[in-house]
Amino acid sequence: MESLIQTFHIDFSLLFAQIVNFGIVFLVLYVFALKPLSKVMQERTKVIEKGVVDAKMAATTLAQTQEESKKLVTQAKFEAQEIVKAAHAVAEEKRVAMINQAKDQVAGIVDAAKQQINQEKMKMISEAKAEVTQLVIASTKAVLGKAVHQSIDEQVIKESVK
Amino acid sequence: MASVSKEQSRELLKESQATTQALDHEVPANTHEASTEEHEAEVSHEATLFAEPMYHVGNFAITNALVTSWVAVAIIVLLAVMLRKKLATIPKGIQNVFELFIEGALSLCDQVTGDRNISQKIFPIVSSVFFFILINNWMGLIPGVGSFGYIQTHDGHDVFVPFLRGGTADLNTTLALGLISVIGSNIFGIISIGAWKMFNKYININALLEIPKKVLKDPVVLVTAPINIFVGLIEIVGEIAKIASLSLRLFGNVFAGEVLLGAMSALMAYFVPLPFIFMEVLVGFIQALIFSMLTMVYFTIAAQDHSHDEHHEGEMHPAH
Repeated sequence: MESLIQTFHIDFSLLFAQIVNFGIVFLVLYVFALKPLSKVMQERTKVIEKGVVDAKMAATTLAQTQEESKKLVTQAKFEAQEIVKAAHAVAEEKRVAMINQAKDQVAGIVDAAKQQINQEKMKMISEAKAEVTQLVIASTKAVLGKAVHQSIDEQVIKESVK
Repeated sequence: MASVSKEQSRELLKESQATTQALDHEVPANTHEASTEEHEAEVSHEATLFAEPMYHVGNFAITNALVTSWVAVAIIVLLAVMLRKKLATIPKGIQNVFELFIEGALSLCDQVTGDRNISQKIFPIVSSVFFFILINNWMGLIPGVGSFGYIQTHDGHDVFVPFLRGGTADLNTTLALGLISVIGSNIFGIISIGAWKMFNKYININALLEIPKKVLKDPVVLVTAPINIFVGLIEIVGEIAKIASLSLRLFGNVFAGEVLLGAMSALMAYFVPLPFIFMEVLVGFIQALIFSMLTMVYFTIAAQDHSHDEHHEGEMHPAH
């Protein structure tokens, strides 16, 4: 043992100095490198894990949303078709009602016009009769040279006008 | 592998010493001019097994290996501070390298420990051992380390003393690391499984206490208990052997490498040492890895409760 210590110059103060050196390396590496680096790596791992979970959730939500939107679109299309059908039906009904109403109105107008025409016609006839009577009276007077009895004249006139 | 490397390193040591001595006598140092050959022939360039003292602070001798270790510590501190300053959530540059190292080393730890929690507890000390040894090993390969120095007269002979010497080429450094590894593993064992169990690992009082309890059921305990006590004592020897094997393996490899490079440089200064330098870079890395892996294994073994397994085996034995 003595010879070993002498051959290799083993010195306990040097041993202690090297232990201190290693202690410094250990402390510095632990405090400045390994601990903060592990912390950063763990935090990053957490962030990545959270990101992956979030991405999965987002993908699931997206799939659900797409499915829901598909359902909604299908439902909307169906509802739109129903609304269009109903609108068509209502429009048809309205069209028919309006046509009928228009027909009624047209018939009323035509009837009124006919009545008015008839009235005008009757009025014209009566006016024409009156004028003819006057013409007959006037021509009779001119032919006979005297006035005829009123009642006889009227009868004669009526018959002549007929 | 460990025994082979130890033997190889010892042989290399002897061979290298013989070679360097022969070279010193036969070939004048080719790094100096021919005009100083006579003077150079008197100067000993022999690679010593120990680090040479440079200064003395009281009784404390500051050796060239200690100075190199301080430089290595300074480099590690600088790297750690640089890393701390540039630490960001999105890694860049040096942080990438460290993160790659941590990820790889932790997965390697997991293969040994089989438990991420134990790996994370052991990892700081194992990685510190790795970096400290690696930087010290590689420091010894830097051109200038071991070749710049001064001539000191020692016992009437002129001796070349380099200013710097690889930190791990001094047994004091490797022995300190070996002590840290083995004592640290035992402290870790005490923390992990308790002081009483660790104490019983070496001085197996439990085995003695079990004799009166089990002797009637299983008289074999009269044989097994003394064996267990003896095994405990062997464990103490084993711990000393661990320190010796760790420190001598590292010292032997690094010192042999330095001697090899010195011999190759003495043969021919240009190109010939190059492949050996590359080899020594690899050896430096491998030795740092081996030392740190063994440290990890010692820590892992210390954290395991073997008395529990023995107890189970003892319970299972009568049933068979």
